[in-house]
Amino acid sequence: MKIKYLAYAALASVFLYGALFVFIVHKPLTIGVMQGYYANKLSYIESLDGPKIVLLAGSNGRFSHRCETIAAVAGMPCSNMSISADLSLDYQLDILKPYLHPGDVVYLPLEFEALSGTEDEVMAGAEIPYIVAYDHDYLKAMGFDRLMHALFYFDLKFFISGLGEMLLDSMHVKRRFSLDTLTPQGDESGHTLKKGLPYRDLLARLEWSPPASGAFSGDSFKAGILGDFLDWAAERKIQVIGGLPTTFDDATVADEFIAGLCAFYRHHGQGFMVLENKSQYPRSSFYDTPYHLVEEQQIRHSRRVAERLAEITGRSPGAESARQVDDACAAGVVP
Amino acid sequence: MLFNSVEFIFVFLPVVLLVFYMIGSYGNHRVAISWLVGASLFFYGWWNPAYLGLMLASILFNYAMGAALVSAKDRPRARYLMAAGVFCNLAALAYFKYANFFVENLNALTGSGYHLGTIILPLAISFFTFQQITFLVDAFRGETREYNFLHYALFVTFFPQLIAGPIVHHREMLPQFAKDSIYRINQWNISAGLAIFLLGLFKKVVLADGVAAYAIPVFDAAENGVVITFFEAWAGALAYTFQLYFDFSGYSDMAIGIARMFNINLPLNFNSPYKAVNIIEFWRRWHMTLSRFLRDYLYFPLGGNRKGLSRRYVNLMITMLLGGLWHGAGWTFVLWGLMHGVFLVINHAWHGLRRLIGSAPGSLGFPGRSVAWLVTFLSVVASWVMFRAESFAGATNILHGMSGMNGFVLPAQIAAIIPGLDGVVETVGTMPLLGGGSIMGVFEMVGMFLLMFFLVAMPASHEMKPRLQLAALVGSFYFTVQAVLFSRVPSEFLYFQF
Repeated sequence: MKIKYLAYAALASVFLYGALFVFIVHKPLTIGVMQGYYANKLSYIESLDGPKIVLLAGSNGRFSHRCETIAAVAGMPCSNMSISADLSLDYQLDILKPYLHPGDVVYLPLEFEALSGTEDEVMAGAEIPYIVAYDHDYLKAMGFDRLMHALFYFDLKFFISGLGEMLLDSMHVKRRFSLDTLTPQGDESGHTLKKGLPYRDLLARLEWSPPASGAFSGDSFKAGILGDFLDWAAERKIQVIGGLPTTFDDATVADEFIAGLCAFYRHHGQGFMVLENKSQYPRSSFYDTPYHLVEEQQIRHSRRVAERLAEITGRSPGAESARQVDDACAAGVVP
Repeated sequence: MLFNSVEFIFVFLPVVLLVFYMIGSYGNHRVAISWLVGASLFFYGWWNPAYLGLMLASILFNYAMGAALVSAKDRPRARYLMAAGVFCNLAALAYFKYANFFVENLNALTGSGYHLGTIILPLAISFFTFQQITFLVDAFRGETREYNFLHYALFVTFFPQLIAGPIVHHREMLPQFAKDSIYRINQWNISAGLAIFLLGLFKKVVLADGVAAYAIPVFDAAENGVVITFFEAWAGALAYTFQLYFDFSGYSDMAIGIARMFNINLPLNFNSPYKAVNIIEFWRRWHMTLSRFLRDYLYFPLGGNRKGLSRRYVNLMITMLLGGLWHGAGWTFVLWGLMHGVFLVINHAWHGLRRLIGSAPGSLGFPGRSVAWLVTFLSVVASWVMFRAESFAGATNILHGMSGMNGFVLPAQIAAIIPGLDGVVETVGTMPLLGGGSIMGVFEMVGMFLLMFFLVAMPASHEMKPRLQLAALVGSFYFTVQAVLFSRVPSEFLYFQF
């Protein structure tokens, strides 16, 4: 066999799979569904006039927070733009930015994994297959390095499960959660305590621990993305408030960790809020993972969040004390 | 340095290859061999330079013992030298590999509290020790021919086979180093070697590492006392069965491919073992050079099958028990060896019975061969559970699960789409140990298993015609690049730990 034939085979392989993943093999149930999510969520946010609250996180933002409730309590329209923590924050922010205006409030109860991490992790985010299959404008605008990472994102398992999803989609198989379970504001619904019973045993034995005291580093690549956004928002008079994701209350999230986050948000001219329970709940309040509250608790948690947001954004009588709390948080003393 | 690492593929291998042929083209073979020895030592030292000394000492000692054996005037003296040489090799292996195991068991038996501290197992010690024992034994038998030190050093250190085999024999390596042809670039060998290397790389980084994600959580959970139910147990056991297969097959292909680029032919070490229709055949196809070593230097010296039926079975059991222990210092390895010893005894007895009734063992029709294949495959899968588990309790947990003793549980979403499962299986929300628990995760896992059964049934890399090799490259190259350059940190080969 001549070496040139090996080279031809290698090139043929790269072009064959490249074309397959760009044009044919995709995941309609797990990735394609995001097209519908974004269409719904963007159409809702576009319909809102005047200042609004925008909630952005991973799936904890969707399952554990309810814009329906927040809007009612805070007296401001609210759009829940959260989809999944597997999507890199920079892509989610790039989508969101055109819809943000001065006076808006962005609440970010980001999952701990989204707060620090490397450039490689960002390059391998779950938005890549979405961009390759559905967002070709964004794909074309990527830099060479990121474009190569995007085109070589797909592994054999993706290929197999992509074929599987296309098959299941053609059989009209639905996922547990889809557009049908999304409220107009973009919240997840229907994940009730009763429906969550089959996950009880699993939740009871799931290993979970809060991040270590010094786990947050403002120097990480992911933190850099967040910091850039906070600066961008501050320049445009958009108020961003960080928060904690909902987690089990087996062990308390360390004050030092929270203080680090507070200082970071403050450094970038924005605020951070901490609920008295640090957004931590008993395992029995969760649906199927440490980040997903059951619907009943989702509504209660959202009410608490809304009350604090209203205080911090100056729409309630407690606004002054809320600022003091925020200052205390920035100083490393978490209430 | 790992064969699947960027530094090996893009720096080490091309540089070593290029310089070797540049030196070779000037006709200076000694320098070219020295370069390969130096590069191999660098390759070894990349892992831990501290153990380079041990390897060099081992080479010098065994070379000197070999020379002394050849020049020994009388037979008793030669026998004494050979025994001393083998003893020293085994003593080094015993210290580094088995000392702590021995002390732990002594403490458990006697209640004593001896403590040796941590002894780091030098990479490849089991392999280079065995290679050199064969050299000493054959020197004693008068079967060694060449005593060029550089050639001997390369025979032990040649980096394609240094870390995880094949366990090469001096007779098949040393004569090759003496040939003029290996110092000249051979385009056909380069391309054939590269093709085999790339297919091996695909097996390792895409197939083995890919399926490992289904095995690791199951075995970890079993060790932690989580009750492993039927489908989880089979998923974990099958995943490890394929992980080990493609990991070892991939390594063997890469080793053969790299050596081929240097115009060196390494012996076949892996020949589609999961196609075997009985355990005897399995051991003729799995880790063939270890089987050869155990046969020639343990089973035959014990008497093999020449001393009656019962002695033959005892010899088989001893060989397999020690073969198990060679893989690691742990009772699970001993039990794995014991299982295969029992399988082999049953297999030989079965063949004996068939011969007795006038039915030749190889005369099975398709249905018979299918059943034989299934029994063999399931036996191998069950034995891999013992091989992989860290403890006897972990292994029995999974084996109980595989037998159905721990119940039949499926995620509700999966059970709902498979007809006839109502009332047969218990349903839960999700099962993280079963392909991550989601319907797509399970689909993906089953898809991987089906693909792997298909690939196992395909011709082995060395049997492929060039056209099929090219087709396999078209099908695999993209995923190989993806895994090596754009995915994760390269993972070690499973056989590195032995």
